[in-house]
Amino acid sequence: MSDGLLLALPVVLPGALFAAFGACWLLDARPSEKSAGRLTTACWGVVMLAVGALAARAASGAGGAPRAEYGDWLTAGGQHFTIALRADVLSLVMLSLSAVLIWIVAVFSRRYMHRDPGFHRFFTLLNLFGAGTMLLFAAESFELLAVGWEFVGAASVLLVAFYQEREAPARGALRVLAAYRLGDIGLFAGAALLHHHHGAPSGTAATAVGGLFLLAAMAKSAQAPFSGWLPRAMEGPTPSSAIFYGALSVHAGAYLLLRARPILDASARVPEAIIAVGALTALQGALVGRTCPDAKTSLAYATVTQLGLIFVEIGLGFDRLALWHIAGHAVLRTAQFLAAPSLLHDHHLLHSAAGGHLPAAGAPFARLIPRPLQDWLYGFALDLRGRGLS
Amino acid sequence: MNEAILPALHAALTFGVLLSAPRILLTPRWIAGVLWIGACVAAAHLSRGFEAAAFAWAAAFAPFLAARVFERGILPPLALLLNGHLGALLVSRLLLSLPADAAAAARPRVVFLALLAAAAAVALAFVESRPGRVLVRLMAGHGALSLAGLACGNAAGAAGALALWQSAAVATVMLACICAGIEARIGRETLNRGGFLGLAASAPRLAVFFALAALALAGLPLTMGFPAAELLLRGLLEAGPAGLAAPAIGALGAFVALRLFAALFWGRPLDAARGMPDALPRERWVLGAALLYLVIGGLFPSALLP
Repeated sequence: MSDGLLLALPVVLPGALFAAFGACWLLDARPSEKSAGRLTTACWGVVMLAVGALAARAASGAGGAPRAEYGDWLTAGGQHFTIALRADVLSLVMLSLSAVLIWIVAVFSRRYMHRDPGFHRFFTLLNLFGAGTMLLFAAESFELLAVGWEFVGAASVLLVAFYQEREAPARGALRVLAAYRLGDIGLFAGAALLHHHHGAPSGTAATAVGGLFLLAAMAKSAQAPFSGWLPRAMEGPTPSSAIFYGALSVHAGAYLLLRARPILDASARVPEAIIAVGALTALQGALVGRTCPDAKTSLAYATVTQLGLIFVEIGLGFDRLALWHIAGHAVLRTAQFLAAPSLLHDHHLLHSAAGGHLPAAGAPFARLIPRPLQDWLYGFALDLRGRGLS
Repeated sequence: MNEAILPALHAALTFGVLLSAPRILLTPRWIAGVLWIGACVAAAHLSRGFEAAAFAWAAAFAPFLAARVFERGILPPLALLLNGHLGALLVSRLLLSLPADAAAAARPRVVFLALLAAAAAVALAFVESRPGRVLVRLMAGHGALSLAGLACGNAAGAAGALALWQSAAVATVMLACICAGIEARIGRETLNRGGFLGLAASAPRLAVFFALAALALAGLPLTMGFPAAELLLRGLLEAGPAGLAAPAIGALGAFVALRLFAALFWGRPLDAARGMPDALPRERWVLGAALLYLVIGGLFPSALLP
């Protein structure tokens, strides 16, 4: 099988399934729950095989990283928009991670969403998200990356408002939308500026492009001051929270920065800004997360904290470490989110197995901070969360 | 003397006619409407230099004045009439007919004013809550962005403006048709009450059509709005750094369009809207055809652009 076909399959197959599910719904010919679930898991099974074959081809070292060009999608006004995909190490790690995690979530959701009135909507949007994710991680140019980025954003907003008959998810989705659109300004303006400088900006232009990409990454990866949308996004179904806000969507910002490494290196002060943003976010997430009364919101702030640390690693230039961190964090957080609905049950089982109550996590470190300061920090974090600033 | 007075007279006439346009459109005085369009065309051809910028300003702001008309009239035909693109076309024709040096001097001013008009339009849309008024502001914003693309003086900007013209016109007419359909079902008062209406529960297909049209207006890939936004941005950046404002204007416009979708279709269903019929077959065909145009334009943009 050619590189072109192997690279296109992970994008086209879920995209076609999304289109087919959507068309069936509009024509009043919805497939049964069983068919929709099986088709989706089979699709992602094929995607996993395709990504595995790409990884094997890349590991064999023959001809470098797999790459394919599919011609010009747009030729107008003297402009060209070429569609090209590639699978270098960075892309392959993210593609493999995405394929496996989306397949797991699809399998899990067949039972979790069983008899939910929105079952088909969920699987339709999951495939849209999947196609967008694969395109985002396989795109060679920033313009094509932005296409995947937009699909991920649209699916994300629609899934946050999945239980649309309640106002809280609707308001949460609007908050997510606002943050994403702010990030889109950075991505689109940065990509256009990069194109204007023929893909190799230097000096002030590089700093401007780097700064715009940082804005996009901050919004997508819920970095301060935009982190407030992440806890509100937990209004969606648990499987979508797992795949979007634990595993893949939130790491898209970090991926963008890793992909833009040459631009960051050429820019002044942007890496320092990334470190500052990441450190501030990690501190904020750690503090505010301790005031959360429910499991999913606590997990959201734990995610914010880890994302902040990933940003610090990227700012320091430890790209390989950041990539490992992303992979490990995505897998762990998906497992935690998927287990969240049965958390109390698991908690009781764990305590019973331990023969009594286990000490609270982090208690030894808490003793290092004086009690009055702990109280003040708790109040401060509670205030931040209450005001919607975090 | 003639050279100074004639353009001034035309500019004054244009302003005057544009200011009175809402009244003209409210009443079936077709002669007045034809005179308005004739006056705009005459002014576009006769004014020179600075008047080009003044005219651009007026043309871009014309739909602002039409907010009340839009709210009171029949939405779909008004959406076609007041899309704001006629003014953009007239200004671009004017810039083409100007001497090269005068056009070069006028272009940056026209682009700046058009971007300012677009920013003002979407900012006004942001503070509006009534669907009709939101739509007319969004139309004004897209009309002004088209004008900026046409005036920036390069092929990418012109192609982007033409693509935006098509996508925004089709998408906003779709949105206006859906709003009109909802208004016919639940009444104008309920439609304009504000807050979440929760109509998706009883009209999920109307909700999907509205969402897709709003996303096309927002520039979602695979719809014609995406190549339009890409080309326009590239063209504007080629013309100068002011083009960097376009993504921010587009983002705010997209947020407003999708917030309107959320307000209409999300939330607890209203008692007044329970049992409201979903998209009728005749509505589905019309909206489906419009959507198909947007998707074909998104998949094969080169086929629809110069």
